Formats: sequence, structure tokens, C-alpha cells
Amino acid sequence: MNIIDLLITPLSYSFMVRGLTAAILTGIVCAVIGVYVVVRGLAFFGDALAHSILPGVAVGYLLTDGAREPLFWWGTGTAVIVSLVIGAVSKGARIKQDTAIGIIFAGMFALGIAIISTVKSYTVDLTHFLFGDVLGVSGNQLITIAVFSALILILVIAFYKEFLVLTFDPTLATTLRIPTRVFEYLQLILIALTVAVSFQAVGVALMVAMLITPAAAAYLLTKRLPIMMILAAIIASVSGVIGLYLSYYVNVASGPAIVLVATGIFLLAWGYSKFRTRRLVLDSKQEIKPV
Amino acid sequence: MKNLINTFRKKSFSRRYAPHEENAPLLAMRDITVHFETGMVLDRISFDLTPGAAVAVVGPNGAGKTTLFKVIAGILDPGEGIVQVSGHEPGGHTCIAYVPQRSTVDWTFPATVADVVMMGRINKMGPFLWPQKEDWDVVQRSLDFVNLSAYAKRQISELSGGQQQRMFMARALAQEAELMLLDEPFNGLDVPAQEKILEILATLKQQNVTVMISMHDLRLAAEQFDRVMLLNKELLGFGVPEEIFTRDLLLKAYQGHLHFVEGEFDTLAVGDDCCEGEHHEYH
Repeated sequence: MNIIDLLITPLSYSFMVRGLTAAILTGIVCAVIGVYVVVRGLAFFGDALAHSILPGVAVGYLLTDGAREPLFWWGTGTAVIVSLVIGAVSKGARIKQDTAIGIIFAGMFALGIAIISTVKSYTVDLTHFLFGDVLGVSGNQLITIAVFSALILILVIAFYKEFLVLTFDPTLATTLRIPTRVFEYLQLILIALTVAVSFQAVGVALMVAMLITPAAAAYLLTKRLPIMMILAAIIASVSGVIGLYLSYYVNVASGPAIVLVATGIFLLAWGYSKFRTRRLVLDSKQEIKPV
Repeated sequence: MKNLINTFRKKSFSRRYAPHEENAPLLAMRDITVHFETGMVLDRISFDLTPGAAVAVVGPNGAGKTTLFKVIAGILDPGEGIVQVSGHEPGGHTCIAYVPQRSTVDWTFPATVADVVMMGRINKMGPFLWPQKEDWDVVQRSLDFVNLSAYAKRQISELSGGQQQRMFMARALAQEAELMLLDEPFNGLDVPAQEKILEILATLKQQNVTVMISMHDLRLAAEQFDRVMLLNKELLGFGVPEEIFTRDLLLKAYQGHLHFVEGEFDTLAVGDDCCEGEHHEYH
């Protein structure tokens, strides 16, 4: 069997094609939004948000008798509410922000598992919720993922400069009379929507990897935000495709396979950036920098 | 067609900003009082500022210099008092640039020097638009002005302290600011880097840009600025250095933290704190 066959054979299964499309779409959205998560230092927030949607998903799961498609809406609703609650709580400042996030994170996650555990045969579905089931994505789910991915990307592009200034220098945003509160909450809502969109593909437990790993790898390779977004999107898509092929041929779960490939790419980027810094240091010894 | 849309967007967008009254002072502060949870930070501050002035704002740590700047820039809402910029409340103006202390900035942020300068222009671009060629031209001119063109494509973490400061001044220029508030720009800079910033300030003065600079070096304030403002929660003095930097007022501002050494020709004021520097009093 040659390499072309290796690549084409899995595509004869429609679930594999849908899975690949979903993995690429969610990979791109997670990576682009993940750039904000990484540069603003919101990794813990992203992880907490992903875990916090579980009770919403669980209630939806009980009410709709195990149907998968409505779960997206339950996840979206919960994610948006939790992101706004965390946003408001972290301004309150009686307790430190990461403590507040940790309490909400663990409490909501426990509630989600408690609700799901009331169902007798819950382990299979719980596994899917935790680690994702990108190969189980239906046609309708794929359309929902595509529509919301497009919406998120359009908002990121439309408000690129506002988000840029808000992320780098909120004080400048205020002096330029940008409604900073509005954009801060919009950014939280975008992260929430991203979590809901990627829930089916990677599950809640590994979501944070899709948000931060490609973005962090891209950060090591570029010095500009828009290029970081493009690189992160490419890294995430490539991870999604390679991960799914690995999952097909090596027979490992799809979500972890995607995350492991992304982690591998991050390590390569890290090694490359170390190598480049060393070379830059060696080069700069030859020239004297002006003041 | 595209130009038409752009013009329309810019016009409809710029309507949000406050107009300027012709005869009003550039900045008028009346009884500005600010309380934080920790206590009073500014106590009934009142003064007027005319266009083209270069004012050095001095006072000990915690005197409220940064707070004063934030109130002027409309970042912080004072509890009491009135701020007027060219006859209107500061909330509607974008002609004031606040240049933060360098230590408050995330220098690892993925942006080039030109990207950061461009940030000063984003409210001039209209909604949904990315920077156009004319915006990049302004960025280029601003960088030329502060002599940083060669660094336009460098990542911001690669700059020295003086270059970082000049980059922020370029951003204020790109913002087309009429009043620049520089928060301790000279901190941690060596003499050549300070001199470069002073040169830029001199050119700004020629262009009638008003500048307020907070600093700790009394000698620098006295030698380089035609107006000084002595602040310690309340406004202790505002005028020419000879009238403000007197033994009485300086003691009032710095209390026990300033010692006077009688010299052969003049009196030397020496701060306890290394940042406060020293100053020759003129008689």
C-alpha cells in the first residue's frame, strides 16, 4: 500500500470525512481565539470554562434522552453564562481571581458528573463528554460547527484592532474611547462560543490544549499577532488531520491523538526557537547595537 | 465606491468626539479630589494649562502624579471636581495621550514597534477597517520623528528603555495628541537616552504640543522645563521653577525626605530616596 492509498482509504468513510472537517474547523477557531487566551494569560480561565459547561450538557442529555444535537445549545448557553459570571466575579476582588475561577470550575464540573451519574449506563457518554467524539459528528452538527466557527472568525476579523489594543494596553483603549467593557465581555463570550463549538470534537478535559497549545507554538515562531493567529490555525488544522489519521491507523482515541500531535508540534517549535535564539545571540556578538 | 464608504464610516464615527471651544484653556481643572480605599490621593487640585506648555510634575512617591494624569486623560473618574479639555469634559476627547510607565507594559506581547505605534490610530480608522496605507504613512512619520524608523519591524522586547519610551511618544504622535501625559519617562534611563527624549520634547514644543511629564529629578525639572508643578496630594505650587522650588515648598512636599546642604554659592537639596535626585536652588 503506497502513501496515497494510506491517505485516501480512510476518506471512503463518510464519518471520517465529517470528522476531519470538524477537526479542522474547531482547530482553526480554537487556535485563533486561543491566541487571545495565551497573550492575556487566560489559560486557567479557558480550562475552567470548558469544564464548567458539563452540567449544562448533562441536563440537556437527561432532558432530550441522550440525543446529541441539542447538546450544542445547552453547552453554548452554559458557557456564555459561566464566562460572564467569571468575568463579573473576577472584578469583585474579595478573593483572588484564580481562586474564584477554581471554585466555579470544580463546583460546576462536580455538578455535571453528579447529574450524568444518575443515568445507569453513563460511562460511555461521560467518556465522550470528557474526551470528545469527533468521529461521531453528524451532518447537522457539522453545519452548526461551521456556522458558529464562521461567526466567531468574522467577529475576530471585524474587531481585530479593538481586541488588539484592549489586549495590549487597556488604558490606551480607554483614552481612545473604545467601549472597553463591551469588548472585554465580547472576548469572554467568543471564548465561551469556541468552547461550545469544540465540545463535540475534543471534549471538556482536553479543550484547553486546543486553545493554548497551537497558539503557544505559534507565539514561539512569530513576533506579530495576526501572523500568530494564522500560524496557530495552520498548526491546529495539521494536528487535527494527522491526529485523526493516527487515530484511524494506530487505533487510539481521536481527541487525545489530536492533542498529542499538537503537543509534538509545540515541542518542535520550542526546540526551533531555542536554536534560533542561540544563533541570534552568537550573531549579535559581532555587531554593536546603537543606543 | 470603497473610498466613499470609508469616508462615510469615518465621518459617522468621528461625530462621537467632543468639539473644542476656541477660547477655552486646553486644560482646566477645578477642585479635583480623588479618594481611594487607602485614603485621599488628590486634594482639591485646580489649575489651567495653556497650549504649548511643557510642565514637569514633581513630588514624592505616592504624591498622586499618576492619578492626576489618569484623571486628565479621562481614564479615572474623579469623585469630585470638574475637568475640562478645551471647554468640554475629558470623556469625549481623544486628543490626550497617556504614555504609561514602562514597567506596566507587557513587553513580551507579539507586536512590532510599528504595530504598537499603529495602535494610536485605531479610532481614526472607522469600524471594521484594518490599517490602510495612509495610516502606515502616519506611523512611518511618527517613527521618523522620534528617530526609530530603523526599528519599525523589531519586536518590542528588543528595544532598550529609551527606545521603548520613544516608541510610546511616537504612538502619542500617531494619535495626533494635543496634550501628552508622560508618566516618569526618565526612570531608569541613562543620560544619552534622557537627552534624546529632551530633544524630541523641544521639537514638540515648536509644534505647539502641550506636554506634562512626571519625574523625580528636581534638577532636570528646573533646568529643562519652563513650568514646574509641585504635588503632594494637594497642589503646592505651579509656576516657573525659581518660584516653586523654594526651601519652604520643597520641605512641604517632601517633608523629612529632603535635606538641604549649604554650599559656597547656593543651597543643595538632596533627597533621601535615590530616585529623587538633587537640585540647585537659585538665589
